[in-house]
Amino acid sequence: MANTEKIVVQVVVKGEKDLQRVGKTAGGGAKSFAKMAGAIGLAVTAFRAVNKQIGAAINTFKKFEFQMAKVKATTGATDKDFKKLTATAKQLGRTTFFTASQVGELQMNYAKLGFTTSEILDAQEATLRLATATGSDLARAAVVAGAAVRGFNLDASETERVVDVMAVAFTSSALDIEKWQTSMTKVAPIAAGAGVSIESTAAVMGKLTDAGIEASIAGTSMRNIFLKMQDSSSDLSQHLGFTVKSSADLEKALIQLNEEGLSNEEIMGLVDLRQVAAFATMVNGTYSILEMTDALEDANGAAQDMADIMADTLEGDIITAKSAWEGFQLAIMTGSSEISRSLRRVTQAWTLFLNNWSDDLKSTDEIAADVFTNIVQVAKGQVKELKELAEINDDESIAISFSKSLEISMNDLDKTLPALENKMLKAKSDLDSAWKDAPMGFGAESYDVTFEKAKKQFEATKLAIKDLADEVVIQKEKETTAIETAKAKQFQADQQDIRDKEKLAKKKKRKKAKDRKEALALEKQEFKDKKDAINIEYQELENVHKQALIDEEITQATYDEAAFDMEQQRLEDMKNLLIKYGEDTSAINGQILENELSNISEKAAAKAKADKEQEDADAKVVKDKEDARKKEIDGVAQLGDQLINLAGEDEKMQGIRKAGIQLSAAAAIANNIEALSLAAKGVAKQSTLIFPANLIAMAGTIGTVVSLLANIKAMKDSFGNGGIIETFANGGMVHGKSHAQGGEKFAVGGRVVELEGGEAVINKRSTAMFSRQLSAMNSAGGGVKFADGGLLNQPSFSQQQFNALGQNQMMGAMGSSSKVVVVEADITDSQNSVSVIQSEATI
Amino acid sequence: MIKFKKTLKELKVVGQMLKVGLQKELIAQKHNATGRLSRGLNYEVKGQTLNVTSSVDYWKAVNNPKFAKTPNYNAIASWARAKKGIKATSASITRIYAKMLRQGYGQPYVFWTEGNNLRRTNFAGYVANKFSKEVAKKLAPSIGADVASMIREKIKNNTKAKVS
Repeated sequence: MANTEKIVVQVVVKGEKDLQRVGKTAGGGAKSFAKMAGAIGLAVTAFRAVNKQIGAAINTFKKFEFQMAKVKATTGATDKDFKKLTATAKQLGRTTFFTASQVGELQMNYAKLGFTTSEILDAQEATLRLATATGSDLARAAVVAGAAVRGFNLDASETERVVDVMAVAFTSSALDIEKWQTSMTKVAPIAAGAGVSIESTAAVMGKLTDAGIEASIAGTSMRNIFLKMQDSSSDLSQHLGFTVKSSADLEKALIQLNEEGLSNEEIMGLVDLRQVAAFATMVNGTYSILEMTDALEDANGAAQDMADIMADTLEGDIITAKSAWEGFQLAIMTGSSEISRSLRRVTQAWTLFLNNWSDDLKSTDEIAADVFTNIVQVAKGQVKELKELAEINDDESIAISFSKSLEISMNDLDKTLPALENKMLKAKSDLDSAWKDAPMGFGAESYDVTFEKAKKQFEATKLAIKDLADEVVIQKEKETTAIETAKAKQFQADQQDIRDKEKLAKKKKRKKAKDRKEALALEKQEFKDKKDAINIEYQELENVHKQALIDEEITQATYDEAAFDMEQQRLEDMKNLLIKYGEDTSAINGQILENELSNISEKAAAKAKADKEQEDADAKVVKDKEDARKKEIDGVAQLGDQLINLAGEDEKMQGIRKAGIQLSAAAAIANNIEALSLAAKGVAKQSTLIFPANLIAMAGTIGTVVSLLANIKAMKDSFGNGGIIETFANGGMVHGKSHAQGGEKFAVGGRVVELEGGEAVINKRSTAMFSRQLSAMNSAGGGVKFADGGLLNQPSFSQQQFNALGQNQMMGAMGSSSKVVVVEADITDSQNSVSVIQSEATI
Repeated sequence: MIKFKKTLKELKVVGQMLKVGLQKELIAQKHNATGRLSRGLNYEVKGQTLNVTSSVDYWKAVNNPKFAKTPNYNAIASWARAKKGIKATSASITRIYAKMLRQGYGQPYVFWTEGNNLRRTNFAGYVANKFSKEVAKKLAPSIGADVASMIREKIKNNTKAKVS
């Protein structure tokens, strides 16, 4: 993507979505055409199929008959039961997607699974719906549904429930009949043992398959988890604090585990490694499992609805038509259906004719059966009409039971008995008179027939009344049973109602918990978003800031300061956010404080560094100065030495030698002063050390200072002793006015002496040592000889310096060629001087 | 996915047209001192989007003199502290600075108005307006051809539509 900062002009071709829609519409049109063409094709195919079926009508019957024979052989059903199986096979074959032969196969499969005839009759219709809804073959549907019924210890009459559960599970999860079969065979008996319903088990299974866990693994994992939930000694049960003995327990366990928010590590402590994935999926998907359980519990009629939806298509119509066609074929062949009867209307006249003929041939029993049938039909019709009337008038008192109606009809019939008896008696009388009146009995035959008929009617009616009486008793018993059944059903319905209400309450509770959890999750997400927004905003500001630094809009110091401020501000914003959402702020408070401390520490370190650099720079300047001065002093000392060497013992050069000696002496004093200055600085510095180290260090340095002071004093004194006035102590030279201008006066030994600028004073010892040379030097410059000037009386040479430095200088000043004369008094004095210095140095 | 083969081809033609238009406009506005800005104009087509881009940074300042000046961070900081005292945090100062960078600041030294011969600003906007109708006129036939092609392709590829 091009950098937006660089885009000068942009042209965008918009409306792609609209064009896509056009594309889809075009595709949709094509699909419509395809559908229409497909429908036409299917219609043609169906027409061909129908033609084929017509051609195979006979075969169909044969096939069905053979199939039912196999059913009879497998089930071992009695004739009565077999008739029921055949009849239902035909009926279901006509009205469902499946043919009667296929229903026969289903019956046989159930029989193989050990289902009795009544169980087959209970289960077969629901199984057909399952097969229709799932598009599976009947044999597999029978096996799967049968296994589920058996696995969960259910009654065959609950096949409907099982099928509905399966239908909903297949449509609302990734489960299909194959996965169901694979997984349920493993888990169903264990779940049933744990009291977990098929609905709850199917919901968990659906969740696991939704998560992509393979059916076999899901089944095995569930089995093991259910086993652990039932085992009171297992880690899982102990963690839960109870064992799972029902669906309600399972629900409770899942909710508890979900709310605990277990980590994978914790889950591994509860179940085996192989079940971790399944268990984690179960726990995390608790609420969706519970929702699905509710949906499955409300699945009543789901399979029928699905089957209806599937049937309500062209394909469904064709299949149904195919089944109906086979039913038609069978009806034709067996002659027991409505269609067959309609066909038989053609021969109605013939049948009637035959019936009329046969009436005379009928036995009394047969006539009684006819009467009985007629009365029953009448009673049924009456009950039906009165029921409809009661519904219309909303008056239940009009309604009548079948037994009552039958009883009424029977009584009516009973009332006809005297008339029939009269008819019979009259016929008897007629017969008697015919026999009496007719010659040879001719003509009595017809009266005989009439009598026989009347007699038959009378007897048959009596028989029919007797049968009806029995039937009334039977019907009354049935009705009593029906009332009890109805009461039982009502009781069950009431119980169901209570259960439904409880379920609703639980559902509401769960919904509330789920809503609370969702609200919490929403709040968490909101918190996270706001947190991210703060971080992003500050990151953007940081970027701008960095760019400003790069562009040299701000200095590094400003950048650092602002960066710190912004970071602290970001943390403050974050802290406010945490407070708003009731989160813990201790960590962020700690961070803010730590940043503050770190900032202070960094600033202090920077300041210390700057001070150190300044100090080092100052020290360098001082050192440079010291070095320069030392160099200068050394230069002076070297000059002095060179002058002394140059002059040697030559008397004429003694002036130069004298100057050399003076220069060396001056350099020695300057060195001592320099050393003193450094030592004093050392004391000042050492005083900053920690007690008692400061005292120890200072004592050493002070000793050195005292020694140096003694040296300087000795050297000064040496000039003093030589007669140099105090102000000229640094040199042996006298500076100032000449004699002509009044000279420089000072007191020596109680006398006032005048010297002039340019003159030098030599101490007693030097004078004693170099008196000849001094005299020569003095006279060489126009002065008098010492014999003329003479030596002044001086105080004794009391404190002669004797340290190494001073001695060396003196030795240097004297030169290698000079003689050194040491008198006994000098040695004694020097020893005294050393003692004084030592005693002072050890303070 | 619709393939805009012809449209994309046409977009390149439009890109060249706009590039030349912008260069002419720069000359007309006397922004042709070194020719760097003019030479730095280029175009590229990505997806259904044509971008005419500039390789030089100052095109924005030429187009809108408000961007000619960079705001002064320290001046903003001083102003903010004088105005808000301790409340003027570095973050708020940087926010103001960033906004001024984004939007530019100050007044352009020459205002451009319709009918004014001295056009010294908004050369990009002027060119975009000037060529907008021509761009639409150029692209419309190619878009139409691509859509027609797409529908034809959909029907052709839909095997379900074939009647057996």
